Amino acid sequence: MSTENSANVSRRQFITGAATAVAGLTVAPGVFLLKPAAAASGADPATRWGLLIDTNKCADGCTACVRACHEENGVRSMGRPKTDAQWIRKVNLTERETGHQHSLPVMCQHCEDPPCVDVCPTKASFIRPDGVVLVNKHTCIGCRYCMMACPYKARSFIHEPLTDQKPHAPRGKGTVESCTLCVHRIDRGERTTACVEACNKDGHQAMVFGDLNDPESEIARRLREEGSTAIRADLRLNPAVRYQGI
Amino acid sequence: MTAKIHFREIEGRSAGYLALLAGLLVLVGLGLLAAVLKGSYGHHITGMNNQVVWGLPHIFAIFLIVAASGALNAASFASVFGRVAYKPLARLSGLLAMTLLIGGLVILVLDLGRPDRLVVAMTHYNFKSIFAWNIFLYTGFLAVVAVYLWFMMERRMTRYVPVAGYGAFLWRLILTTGTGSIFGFLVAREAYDAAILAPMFIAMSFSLGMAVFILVVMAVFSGTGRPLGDLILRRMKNLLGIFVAGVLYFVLAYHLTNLYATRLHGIEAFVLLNGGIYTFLFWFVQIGLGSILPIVLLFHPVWSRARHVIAAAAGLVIVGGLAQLYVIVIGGQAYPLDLFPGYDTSSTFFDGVVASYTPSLPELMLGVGGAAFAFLLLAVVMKFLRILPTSLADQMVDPHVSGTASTAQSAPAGA
Amino acid sequence: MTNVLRGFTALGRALPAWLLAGVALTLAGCDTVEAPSDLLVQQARGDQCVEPTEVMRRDHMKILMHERDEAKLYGRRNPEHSFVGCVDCHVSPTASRDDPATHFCLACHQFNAVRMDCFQCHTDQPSDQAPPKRSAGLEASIEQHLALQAGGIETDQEIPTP
Repeated sequence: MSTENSANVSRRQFITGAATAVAGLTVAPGVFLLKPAAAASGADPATRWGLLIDTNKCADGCTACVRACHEENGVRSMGRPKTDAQWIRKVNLTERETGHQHSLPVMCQHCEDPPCVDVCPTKASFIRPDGVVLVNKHTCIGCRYCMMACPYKARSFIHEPLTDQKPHAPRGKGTVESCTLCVHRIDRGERTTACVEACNKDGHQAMVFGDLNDPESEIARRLREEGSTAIRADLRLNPAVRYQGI
Repeated sequence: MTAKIHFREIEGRSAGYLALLAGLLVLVGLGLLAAVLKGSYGHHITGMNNQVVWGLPHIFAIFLIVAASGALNAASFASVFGRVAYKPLARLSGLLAMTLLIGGLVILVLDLGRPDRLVVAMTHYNFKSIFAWNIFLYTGFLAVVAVYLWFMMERRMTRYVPVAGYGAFLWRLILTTGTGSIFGFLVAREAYDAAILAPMFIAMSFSLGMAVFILVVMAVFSGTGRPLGDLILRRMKNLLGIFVAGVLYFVLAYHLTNLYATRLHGIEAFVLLNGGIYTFLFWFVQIGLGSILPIVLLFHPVWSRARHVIAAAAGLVIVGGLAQLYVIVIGGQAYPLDLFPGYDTSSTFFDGVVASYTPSLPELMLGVGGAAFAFLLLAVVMKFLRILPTSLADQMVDPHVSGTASTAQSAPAGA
Repeated sequence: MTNVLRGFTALGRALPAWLLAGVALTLAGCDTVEAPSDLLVQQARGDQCVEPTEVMRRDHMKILMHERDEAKLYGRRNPEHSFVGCVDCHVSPTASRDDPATHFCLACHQFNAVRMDCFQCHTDQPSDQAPPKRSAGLEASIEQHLALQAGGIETDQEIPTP
């Protein structure tokens, strides 16, 4: 009987040990994948990318920025304006009291405190360390709550199956998207977005892209010297897109 | 001593019952068809667009979820507030709460742009989002009420029923607060961003839940031929009237407060004066048909005695509730965001204009399909489990009522 | 209660028959699928894949998911494991999603019935342009990534650098 007992115990020990080993082997790869947070490649938290738009230089009727953005990111009209995606649009303003008119481009404002990030149930809407607000379409479930929450109506939902996407700008049915501040260009090292590039090429020079946190950059210098406003500044979202002349 | 309450499964063999199941199955099938079509072709086949992102399916879903919370009223009156008269109805109340919530959730999940990513939704949580909290609150509600129902049906566990009842009651209050906060937390839109929306939704849950419950009780007792006394019906219709008045109070407080703020005059004028369909739905359907007329019907000394009047009032409350949700959810989205106060705006992205939204057939199919699924579940479960009391005649409900008087009063098949 | 039990046992007895019928009908409705041929691998452009075939066969989804999160959430893009690179090399310009035998990814995934939804958002058209020249920023990013792999920090498997 005692030999039987000792055999039982050792069998139990063996199984426990084996189970622990297998569990350890299963868990270990995940543990090793934890890299230290200080890996400095990729989005730099010391940077904050932003845009400055001088609406006085923005020409009425010009849509160079809109066309360039949609060309760059493969955003095509499906012939259904109400459900077509728009990453950037020109808004025409007429002041009610005086009749004064001007226009300006509006896109995702890349807020520092984005309501869309707050409300997203799966963390698909997120803000990158360098301030760019994006939608992680791998996690987006298409609930459209962020579209309800955005104070700038910046986001679009994709209402149909898509083909022929641009390789650097994946977009698909059932997910939400908005202006990415051309992160594919930022990550390649280019320091301009498609809209800014087009505006400069057309000669209007109304838009500037740069690092808001770099005091030497053109955008930071101009913000400091000339001042700027934000749309719906009372919401205290501290957007990275600033305007002059509104 | 009240006579002992007996519960029995419904027979479920009559032609009427089978026809009901068949009809509900057809509606559920249509709902699934709509979901599959939407999954293949995308949301452009619905009326929802980039301006009005939540439409008719969400109206149905929110109605079902709010009504689910309120359907638990009867059980809470029995277990939490000690109203013995409601004890026979507690099981039906719990089951109806569960099935209505399941119906609402099914609609919400099938309307997602990527419903195949449900597993992602259940494993990635952003705890700052009220939506994420709602996922826990909704599934937790199902679990809590299931336990509550089990305690009610299991002889050994009946002494724990009050504890479960309190838990379920608290849970539904938090759940409905969460549902109202979906809109209350949004700073972007003028129709939302108001703390009053959470208690208003709680008031709506009491009113809509009671209305659905009354109609279900009347339909089920009439359909199974079991006696339904006037006493319990009178108590429920009085409560319904009070709850409708409660909702009216919150609507009044909400609009009066908004009217005081100049910056909100735009949205108030839109809802109350010149919003077209939304103004019509607000005044004529929500306030008129859905609030004032039911209160008159339910408290009128003569009319309120007739069962068809009570049923009509409950039906009107439901229609009013749907209209109220339409005005809140869709009207709130249709009104343009005010990015530039003092300016008229226009753009290719529909800035500055009231967004147009027309409900489409796939949306209606999906919404109705979810509601049908809720009632299909109810009908099937009642056939297998002892949910329904054998009699709600007056002497079963109130020990002080004598037998002869009440048998003359209580009319079995819907009078 | 006994009524219910009787009802259930009657259903229970009939259940295997129903299940069998269901399985038979489902199988009857399926098309035959050809096993993916090695031809697709041979059609790839370039000398060799970024990882050995055995590593890729076993771990390509792990590599893809890992790099996907790194790139999307932190902007740490690894051109060695770029998804665009995979498509550029492996997917033929004439591949069609309707004919999985021509499509590198779909051929195996369809045969093994493993669901992937990458191409709902990502394009499976190889780009006909040469990849852009690497900027200084990108070179630095690659350096960092390779340094992490090589020195001190263990990754989930030994990824041999080609």
